[in-house]
Amino acid sequence: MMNMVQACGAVAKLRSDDSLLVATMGAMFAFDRIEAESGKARALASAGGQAGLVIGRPVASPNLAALGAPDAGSSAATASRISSVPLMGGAAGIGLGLALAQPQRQVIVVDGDASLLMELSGLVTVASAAPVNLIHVVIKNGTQFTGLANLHAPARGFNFADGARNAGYRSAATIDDGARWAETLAQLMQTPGPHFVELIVEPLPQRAGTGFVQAELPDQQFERMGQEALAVQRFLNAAAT
Amino acid sequence: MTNIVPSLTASAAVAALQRNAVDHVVTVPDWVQLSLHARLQNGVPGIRVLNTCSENQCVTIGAGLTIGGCRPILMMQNQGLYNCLNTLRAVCLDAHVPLVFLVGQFGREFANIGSDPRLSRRTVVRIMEPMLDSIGVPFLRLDTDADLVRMDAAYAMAQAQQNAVVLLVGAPMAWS
Repeated sequence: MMNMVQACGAVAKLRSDDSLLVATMGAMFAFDRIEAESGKARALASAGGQAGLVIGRPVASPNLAALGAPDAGSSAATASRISSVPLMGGAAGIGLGLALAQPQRQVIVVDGDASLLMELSGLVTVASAAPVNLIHVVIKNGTQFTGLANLHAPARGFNFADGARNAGYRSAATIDDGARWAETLAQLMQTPGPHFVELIVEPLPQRAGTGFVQAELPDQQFERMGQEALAVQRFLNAAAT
Repeated sequence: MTNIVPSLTASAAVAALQRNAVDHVVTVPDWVQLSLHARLQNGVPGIRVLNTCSENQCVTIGAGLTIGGCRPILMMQNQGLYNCLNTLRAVCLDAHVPLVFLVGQFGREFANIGSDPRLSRRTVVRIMEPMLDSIGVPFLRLDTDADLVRMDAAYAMAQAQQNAVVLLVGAPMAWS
């Protein structure tokens, strides 16, 4: 069985600079840590309160200058990553939309098992749309609030790869070894998808117990997805010009 | 055959979608908009229809498309909008992704058409506008073809406010 760093580390290491990455909360924290340790993290661009997302580039061109300079005080993350946070079940849909809008780019979704179960029918939606540039990964660790309370997720007996295969993904596999995962990911990135990979991952050690005090959730947790969405659109627009 | 109640026509709705440069319709089908669904299913140049399995997926796919540079519209019925409220909260209210929804007032009794939908005897209709008011999502009513200019306004409002805007279709669309 691999650990979370091996599961997400392969994605962080192998994905191309022009790819897009969508993650749920557990993977988001892992990518934050991996990117910080590798020196890949950078501040998100600040919107400066002047501009937001533009609906449809063919209709309205974004005013990039109005988006402002990078703000060192904002959350660290790469500009090509967006977190479905706090929103369980949303990662695959965001990834599908990005994949269809940006067919020349690879889009990688790193989902959670409990999160994917909330919108399991999204497997059918993704397969029906059939984006060749999408790789959908689910971290199966059998827990919710992993690393905090490690509550049991109702996923232990469910084979996600079978579900994706039956839904119509071009390929689906279950992997529990970190080295094999890295090899497989490199291969999948060279072949048309949509691909699905179920990674069997150890839960993080539980921190909460008797005497544990839960901290307040920071505002940033509710603002982050919007900041990242803006940063991703800025990243895409910059690449297009 | 003459429509028994005032409503939009599917042909005018398609024209409004094209005028607004909509490139994706992301949907769980709506009984009120069946005639528009049928036209879209038969193919409208420049518009790809994405059929999804839940309205939550409509919202998240719409978000990905918008961030990626497309101009989607999300088509569903009132029940579907109730179904995806938490996703709308996360995507449009917290993350400020601007999205336009085209929502049919499914279940509206014909006696209420032409009157205030807040007076409908059907809960699914009656609570829609107060609910949108309560969560701070603007809405505009579409009752006749002349109202379709409000789709243009909806995109402008969504862009300006970085929020969801809901277009409420009040009666079954005519098959013309």
